[in-house]
Amino acid sequence: MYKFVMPEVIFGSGSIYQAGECCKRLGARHVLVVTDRGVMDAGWTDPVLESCRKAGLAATLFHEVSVNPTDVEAAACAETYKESGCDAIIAVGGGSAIDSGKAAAALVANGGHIRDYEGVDRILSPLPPLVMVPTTAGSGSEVSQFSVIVDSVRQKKMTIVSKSLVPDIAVIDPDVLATKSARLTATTGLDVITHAIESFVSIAATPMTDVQAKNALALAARFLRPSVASKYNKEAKEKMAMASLQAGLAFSNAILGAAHAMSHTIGGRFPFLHGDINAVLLPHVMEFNLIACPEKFREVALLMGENVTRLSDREAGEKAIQSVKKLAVDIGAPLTLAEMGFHASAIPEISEIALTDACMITNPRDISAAEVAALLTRALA
Amino acid sequence: MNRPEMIHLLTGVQSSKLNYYTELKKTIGELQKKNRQLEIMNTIMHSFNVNMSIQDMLKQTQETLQSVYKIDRLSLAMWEDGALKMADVYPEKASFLRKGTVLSSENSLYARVFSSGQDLLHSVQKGDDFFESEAFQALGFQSVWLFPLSSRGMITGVLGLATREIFSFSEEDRSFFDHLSGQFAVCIENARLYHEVLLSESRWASTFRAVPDSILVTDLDGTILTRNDSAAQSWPFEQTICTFLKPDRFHEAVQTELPCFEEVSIQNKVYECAYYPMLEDGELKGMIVYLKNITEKQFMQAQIIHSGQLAAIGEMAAGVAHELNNPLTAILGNAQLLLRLATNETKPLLEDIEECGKRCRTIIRSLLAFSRQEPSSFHPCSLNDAIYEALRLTGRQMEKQRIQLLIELNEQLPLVNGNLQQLSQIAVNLFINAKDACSEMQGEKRVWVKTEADQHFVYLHVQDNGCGIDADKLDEIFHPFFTTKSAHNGTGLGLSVSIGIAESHGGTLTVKSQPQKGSTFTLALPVLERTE
Repeated sequence: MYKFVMPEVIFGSGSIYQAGECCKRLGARHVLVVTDRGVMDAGWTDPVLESCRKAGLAATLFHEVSVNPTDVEAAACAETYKESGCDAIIAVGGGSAIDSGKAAAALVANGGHIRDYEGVDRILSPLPPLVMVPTTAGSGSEVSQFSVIVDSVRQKKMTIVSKSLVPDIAVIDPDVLATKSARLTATTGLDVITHAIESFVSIAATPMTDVQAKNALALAARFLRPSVASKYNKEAKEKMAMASLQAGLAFSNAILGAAHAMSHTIGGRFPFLHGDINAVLLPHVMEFNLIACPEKFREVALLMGENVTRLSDREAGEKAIQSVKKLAVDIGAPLTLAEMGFHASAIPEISEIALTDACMITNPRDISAAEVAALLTRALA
Repeated sequence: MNRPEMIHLLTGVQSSKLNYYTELKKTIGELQKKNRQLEIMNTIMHSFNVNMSIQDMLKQTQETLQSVYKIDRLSLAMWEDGALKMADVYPEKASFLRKGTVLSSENSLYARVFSSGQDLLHSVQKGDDFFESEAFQALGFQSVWLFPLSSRGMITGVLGLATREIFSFSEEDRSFFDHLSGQFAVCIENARLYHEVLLSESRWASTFRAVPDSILVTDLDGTILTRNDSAAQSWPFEQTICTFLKPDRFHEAVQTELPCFEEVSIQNKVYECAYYPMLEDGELKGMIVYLKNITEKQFMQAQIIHSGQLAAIGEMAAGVAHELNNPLTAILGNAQLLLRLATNETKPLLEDIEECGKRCRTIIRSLLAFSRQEPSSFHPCSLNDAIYEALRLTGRQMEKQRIQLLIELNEQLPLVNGNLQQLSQIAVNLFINAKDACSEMQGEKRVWVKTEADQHFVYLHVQDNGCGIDADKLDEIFHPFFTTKSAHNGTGLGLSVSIGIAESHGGTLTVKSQPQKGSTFTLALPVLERTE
């Protein structure tokens, strides 16, 4: 028995101009537009505001969102929503803006502190209309039931899981990817690959999620390099946007694995890019998980374009790991935690906390704190 | 939680995205209930009026509540005379503790709620040992919810809701019932105050109405606004007091805003009349006209004075008679002795002395008889005798005034049952009045005295050709202290006492008069009925 949840999806070039109209259809009158500085500077907030104006909606802008959004920012965002008398939220940006929008929505409908909703199904009242406009082709948050927010007191990323966090409409416009830097394209692209692989090997994977995960992986493996290579490769951008969407649908329903569990924990303590951490951890986690489902890793290798004929599942799996590593090298992603500024001293604590992350539950191989620590040590340099 | 369960949770087979439809339904449901409650509150409060009995209020409440809450019984305990007592219960058949039962024991749930001021939801249990437990069990209640009734900051009683099924109510229900009991307390208090006011008002009204004197409340023009029973009896149709009272005094009281008094006679009755200004916040709002009938009182006064006078005369007459008797006996004896020796020359003189002496003796005897104060006992007697007696006392005065006395007494006059002495008092009064009426007149003066009888009455007519009486005074002449004579001539008692005597004999005393032509007074007395 399984279930597949997803929002309405509008996909295509120029769809960003639909954002306002989407909100209006959901009954909105005054929209809170949640975004960050970078997105504003790139000029993607304007078409959203413009679409709101055209739809006859009032709009209030909230842009104090950081790379790893915190509970404080979410509370401020909810406060702005209430003060301005908003009745819907559009989030424009990467995972941080979208997760902030979701957290704020949870707060305005349920009150309290976002910490109260950490875990699974803790949200009790329905959220206001949520329209998500992703600008990074990575997080998949625009279709997922997750919101990841940093607890500024505990310095930990809280994973909030609820069907109510699945947005109402995801507006995916590949054109917005054109302004992304190569660095950002690379790191978010690696996030897509991590999403695809982890959800594919997840013990909660279903035929429905497998379709999405496999498609996402094949697309990303093929188009990430050209997408990083050129801002103007429209086809590559569109494929990456689709890969991100499908990977999002896959992991939202099949959940993730150890790489994300650890990545969430590190992200709570260090200001690293989520995609970078994933990229470094993924090959090590794949090695660790290989024995759990070698046939699936064989498929991963295949999807990544490796030739696995006459190779055993295990050998094929190892090829998949190599392929991931090669991709990281090719697009200039960091290869070790050390080079990002991670200290070995944090390993014991990170290991303990990572074990409690929701994503750890669906990891195909059972894992202990010591094993997490060993993986982190290996990823360090 | 184990891993598969956790995965189940994460993939969400058992959870769905929350939607506004369910939220809305919940909210609407709550709103509908709240609306219904408000409606109930409204219906209950509107249907209450101050005139309603508490029993009816409870009935109305229970019936209206029925659509939302199934309450089997409403009960009320009220603080009265220093104790919490069982008051009304609806339905009445669902009562166990009798009305008036004191709920003062520590063990009473009602008393607990009353003293704590907090509501109390009690589930009736088998082993309960409360004062009311037996009642609850006997009536088959499962739950009892008690609310304090507070009005103007004071807890005045306890409202009890009892059900035969177990209550399962929420906080909103509590606040609803809290509100309801608040309203209830106010209504009960209002009804109580209203009845108190009504009672004191009706007490005042019945006092006002029962006063035997006439009280009229008027506006400043004398238009009658209210009258009490006595006034309504005397003047049922008058619109204004000006039709039966001279308005001078009334206006004086209105102008000075001070009470004014006068004595007035209306329709043959004498009233002491007072005009009291009615002031409200220093402003004159109306007048109270207070009429006290003093007719009887005046007659009584007159009789007292008159009999006082008679007593004084009697006493004096007795003394005088005693003093005069000896010299008179000597005069008469000596005159009779001398008569034997009289010459032709002296005989007429001596006879005159004897005659005068005898008359003196008669007068003295009559005076004694007239003024004798005896308890008035009635005997069969002749009106003629009374007249003779009176003539003996007054005949001489008439002669002196050169009044021609024409006497025409019916010798066959039937007897009457009466007091001779009192009847002769009437005759004396009438003769003196006739004499006085003639005294100022020129020409021939006449007084006719006549007795006659018909089947039922004997009559005495005393007619003079004197000054007569003005028509507007005819009514007043019988009033005590009314007199047309000068101060030393009259007391104003004669006729009033006479009419009193006439009435006590079952008779009447009437007058006909024409100014300057004369008057006729007629005394009519019922004929003595023969009992043979």
